[in-house]
Amino acid sequence: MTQDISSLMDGELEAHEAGRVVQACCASEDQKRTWYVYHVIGDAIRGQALRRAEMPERILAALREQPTVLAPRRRVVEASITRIALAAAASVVTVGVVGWLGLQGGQLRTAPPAIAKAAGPVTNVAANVPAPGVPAAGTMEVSSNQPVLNVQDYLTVHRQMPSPEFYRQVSNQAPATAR
Amino acid sequence: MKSLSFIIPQEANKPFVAPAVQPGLGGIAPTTRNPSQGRMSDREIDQQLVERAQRGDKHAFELLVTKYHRKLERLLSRLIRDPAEIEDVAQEAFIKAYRALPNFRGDSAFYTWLYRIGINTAKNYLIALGRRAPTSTEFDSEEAEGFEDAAGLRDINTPESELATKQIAQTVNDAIAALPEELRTAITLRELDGLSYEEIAQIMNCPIGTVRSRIFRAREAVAEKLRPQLGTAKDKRW
Repeated sequence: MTQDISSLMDGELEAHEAGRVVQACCASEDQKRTWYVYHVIGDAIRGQALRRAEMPERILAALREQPTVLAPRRRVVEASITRIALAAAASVVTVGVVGWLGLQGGQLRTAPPAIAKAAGPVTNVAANVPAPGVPAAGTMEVSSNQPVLNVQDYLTVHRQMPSPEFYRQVSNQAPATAR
Repeated sequence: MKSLSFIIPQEANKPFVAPAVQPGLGGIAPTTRNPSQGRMSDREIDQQLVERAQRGDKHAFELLVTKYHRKLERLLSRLIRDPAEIEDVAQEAFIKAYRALPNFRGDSAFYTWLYRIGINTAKNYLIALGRRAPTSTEFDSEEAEGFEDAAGLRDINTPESELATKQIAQTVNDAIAALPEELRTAITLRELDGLSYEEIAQIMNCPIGTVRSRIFRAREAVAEKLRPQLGTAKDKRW
């Protein structure tokens, strides 16, 4: 075993062997002493000043009085798993929302053929602009057939709605309102 | 193999002179170990000890204490002059490190982390005493890994501790000088030059298993001489 401690100190053991030797070292007072003496020898050979070469017994005694530290790795793993799970859930939700919005957008973009079907009566209605205040029957018909219209389609359909007569009427009435 | 020019330094603080590597056999620079080789680096061994300590094995942390307390005290001696105070601060730093162990995630090497705790503990200690604490720029964490300087230490050592240091160094030197040449070469190439067993095997022209055995035998021979001085005789309990 002492030869293994020597090899361990030199970093010449495979990981599994090192684990075994560390375990043995922790379990035996003799092996701990060997570990300590070998390190002192290394320091002395390298010419490092040994301010205090004897065992740090006072430090070890103080350490033994300390409550044992427990830092289970499992908790760390669990915490990281929770973090990963939350991040993954957030990602899935984001992708889902974006995807749903994309699909909705796709449906809206496929709407023009339906509008085209209704384009006939709309054009006719636009040509026969009703008098102000009179509801346009054709317009009502289009809106009931096509509940979902995007803005561009709406503007295309209604671009001729404000008639010159409407503006004139407003301007003619304006002075009377002022009075 | 040609005889090594092994110099036995009689002054405690003088390092050994590394044996000259024969051109035909070596000239190999210490290499960084490839993690894929499966061997555990110093940092990985520390990490393994930390993980054991985090799972409640105090003995694992004791091994880290016995490994690093000399290094930490050398570091603290640059900030604090009184040896008794150095010992107090080192103890406090180790206890703080132990309590903070659940927060250590291994992002840095254990010693780098311990170094920071040691420096902060020393600064707080000096501030509490109304003394000037060094600014952070005087002690960068980058120093932590390579801190081996003992220059400031010689001034503050008490005569007793200096004598003990010299005696230990003398014992180690004598023990190494008395080793058979192949053991002396192997331990010196390992401890001084930091060569791997594979590199030493190439230089000494022998199998890796032989290198492993020679280094171990060299350590055991030196340890045998050193144990009485360290108070770690095999029958003595800590």
